Amino acid sequence: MMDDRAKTGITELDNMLRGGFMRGDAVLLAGSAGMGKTTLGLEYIINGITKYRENGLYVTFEQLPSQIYRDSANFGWQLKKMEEEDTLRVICTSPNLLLEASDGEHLFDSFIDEVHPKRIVVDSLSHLAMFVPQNELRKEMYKFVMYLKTKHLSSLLLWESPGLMGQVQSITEEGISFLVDAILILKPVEIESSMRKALGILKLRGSDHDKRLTEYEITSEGFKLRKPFVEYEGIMSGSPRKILRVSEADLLKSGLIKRR
Amino acid sequence: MPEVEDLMPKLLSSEIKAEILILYHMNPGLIDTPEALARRIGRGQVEVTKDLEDLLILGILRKKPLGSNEVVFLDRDRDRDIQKLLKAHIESLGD
Repeated sequence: MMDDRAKTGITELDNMLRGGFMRGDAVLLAGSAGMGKTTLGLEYIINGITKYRENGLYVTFEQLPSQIYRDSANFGWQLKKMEEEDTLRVICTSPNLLLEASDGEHLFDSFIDEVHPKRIVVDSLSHLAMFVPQNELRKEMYKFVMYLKTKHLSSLLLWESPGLMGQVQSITEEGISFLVDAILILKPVEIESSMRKALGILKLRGSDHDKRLTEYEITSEGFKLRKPFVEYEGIMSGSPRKILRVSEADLLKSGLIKRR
Repeated sequence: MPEVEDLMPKLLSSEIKAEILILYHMNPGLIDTPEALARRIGRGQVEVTKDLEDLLILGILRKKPLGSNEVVFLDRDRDRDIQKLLKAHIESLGD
């Protein structure tokens, strides 16, 4: 029987997700430029193929596949070989074509027939906003998300979110957050004049999850989660402060409290 | 399968055809409109549409309607067959 979770294959992230994403769910991965959305997306697809025998589609609007093959090779991921083995398709297209269909046939149907994927990454869905009027975007996104669900695909939808640089007010201006089942954010954090990266799970419909913002790095092997930022508060507001932890002994010593 | 002598002129008779072939060989999962293809190689849509015709006739590329658009994509099997044919032809020239 198939596990009800689609594991990312990144142990620490799967632990935060209490086992992985819920299978068949649409997950929004939001972050500003350079935060590693593409790397995490690729790793999710590659781990699916290599660790769990779940084939995948990687859809790119921005980068040509040739760039993705090259960048992936730097992490030791051989995408071309996976394509030759019919476990993966890297699809490059224009975002407006996602919304088109002829005689009920969607752009992805032939690729789905070729590799029978269980996972899909769309890099990045925010490009659709350039082609769809603001008042129709939510409806079009809903149609697209429902298409993915009908095909039983566990999807990771990347979203360029410049607003995550400073104080987080909303993930998307378009109300897309309500259409998806889970939301992960990748956020830069400035601590003691150095740039660090934080991952947070804002929403995971139907499951408990780790609520702590956790530090991560992009290493030569891919996405690596470190420790939660337990010593800081105000990270989401863009103004992190170290939490002062004062022991009773310190307070007694300072005279702020008296021995009972 | 066309004869090699017929293939060569259709494949390599223009710089744009070569650019389109290189684009698809480097990016076999590319599926897009002729207009977008023209943008991707920095050429005019009219010239690209014209040169695409030969590649479509050869079957290396295929076209299908998608809503109000037509999209062009690589036929991987056909492309592999034609590459084999060309390789065999080039090797035979050395005999």
